[in-house]
Amino acid sequence: MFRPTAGELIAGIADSLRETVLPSVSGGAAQRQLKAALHALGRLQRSWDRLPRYLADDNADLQQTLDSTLTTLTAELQPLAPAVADLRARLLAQGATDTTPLPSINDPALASAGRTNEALQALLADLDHWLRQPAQQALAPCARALQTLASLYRRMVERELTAWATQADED
Amino acid sequence: MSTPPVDASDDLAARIAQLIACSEPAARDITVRGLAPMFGGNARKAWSFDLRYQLRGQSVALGCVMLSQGAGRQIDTDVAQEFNVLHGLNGKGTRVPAAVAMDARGEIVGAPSIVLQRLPGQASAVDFLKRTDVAGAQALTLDLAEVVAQLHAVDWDVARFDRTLAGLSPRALAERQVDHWHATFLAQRLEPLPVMAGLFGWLREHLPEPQRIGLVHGDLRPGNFLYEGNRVTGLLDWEMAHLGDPIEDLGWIYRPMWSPARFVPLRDFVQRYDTLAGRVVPWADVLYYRIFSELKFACISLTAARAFHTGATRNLRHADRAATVAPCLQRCLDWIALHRQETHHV
Repeated sequence: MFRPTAGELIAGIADSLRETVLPSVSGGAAQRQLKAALHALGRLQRSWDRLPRYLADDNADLQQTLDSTLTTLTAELQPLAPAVADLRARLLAQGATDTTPLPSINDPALASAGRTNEALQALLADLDHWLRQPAQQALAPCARALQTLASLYRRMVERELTAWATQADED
Repeated sequence: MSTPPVDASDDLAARIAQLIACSEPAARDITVRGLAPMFGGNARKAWSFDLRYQLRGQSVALGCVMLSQGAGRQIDTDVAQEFNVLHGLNGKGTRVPAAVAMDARGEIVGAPSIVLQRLPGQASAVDFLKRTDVAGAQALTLDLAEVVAQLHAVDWDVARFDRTLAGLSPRALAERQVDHWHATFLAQRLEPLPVMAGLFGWLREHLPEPQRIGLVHGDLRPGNFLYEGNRVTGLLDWEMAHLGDPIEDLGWIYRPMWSPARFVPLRDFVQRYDTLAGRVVPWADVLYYRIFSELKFACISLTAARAFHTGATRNLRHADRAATVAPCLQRCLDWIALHRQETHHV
């Protein structure tokens, strides 16, 4: 454990700026910039350590939901739509290690989780888009899949709200 | 030839006078007095001044505001469109400033600018939303419903408003807003954001058939209208005005961030609007445009976040705007559930 933690440092820096700099900046663009910085620092202090857990949970849920949804669609759609087969192949390829760095993420494991998350989210967006095409809309398996995605969206937004730590008066 | 930047130098008054002369060639003895900055940022600057001139033997005196575009804009807008909208509304029984002159390309003033009549009143959203005199605030909110109904009652010739819209069905006109914000989303997002992508799919599937096509202000909310006491004196900031389903404005006015629901619940506001407009707005349509408004706001946040991320702006207010997206999406999901209940009852 490293003390002070990053959260303690962010809070301390914000307090210092608020107490020692803000009073000497009267009005104008400089004051607006400082207040905006303090606002952002407040949210960072509340959220700085939540990303690893968020990515792990989100990736697990996305992987599981996409896998079960695509498996069900594969079983129920006759003939099998090429798009579903393609999405399933993309999902199976998620296990491959991608070492492309992500900007400003230092931990390789966290960067890997971030890349996986972006890939799974892109796959989910593509599946949603395909399910909403007129040709699919009348098909019962596709309607059921969209309901499954609607439940997933709820869970995703709940996780995002926790991870971002946005306060009610900030939006 | 390059034009000088807009600033409050002595010569700005001369340039404004030149703009007025171009706009009103018969004007003589033009004077611009009391030129003073009202507000200014990267996106837009405003000056107040008093304009006087002689026109065919008559003295004209007019308090004016000049709005000039800056470089750091988050939303693409066109001052010519804004000016033409106001010009089209003048004399139609709406509470909007008179459109006086326009420098669409900034060739005279130095930046794309419009000159408008200066109306009385204050625009502070904070002062309005924190009013302790609830009865007065209620009266003001209900007056806003009246102003909005008046605005939406104005008939527009679609082809004259914008030739590219000629022949489009009311549904297609309304859908253009979904298209616009969806395109903005795709262009500005920094990651896939599948929930938001799916919500745009929902918007397309559930677009209500517009009862009428009217002028939508597009950014009507506390802060963008002037008021004196309990009366709205004028609607401001027409940069996002467009033809579409007017119910869009009702959803935007009641976004939670600036909602006047503390004074008048949305249902009561809509009821007042219904009475004045002479038609009943389906509650499901109101819910639809609340959802639309959340996605629109989220798109504006993504635009701001990208601008900061790429260095296009150093305004720190935009730095953390992506954090505002998740609460918008949560409200969308909540209201979709209500919309489902509402449409299943119909």
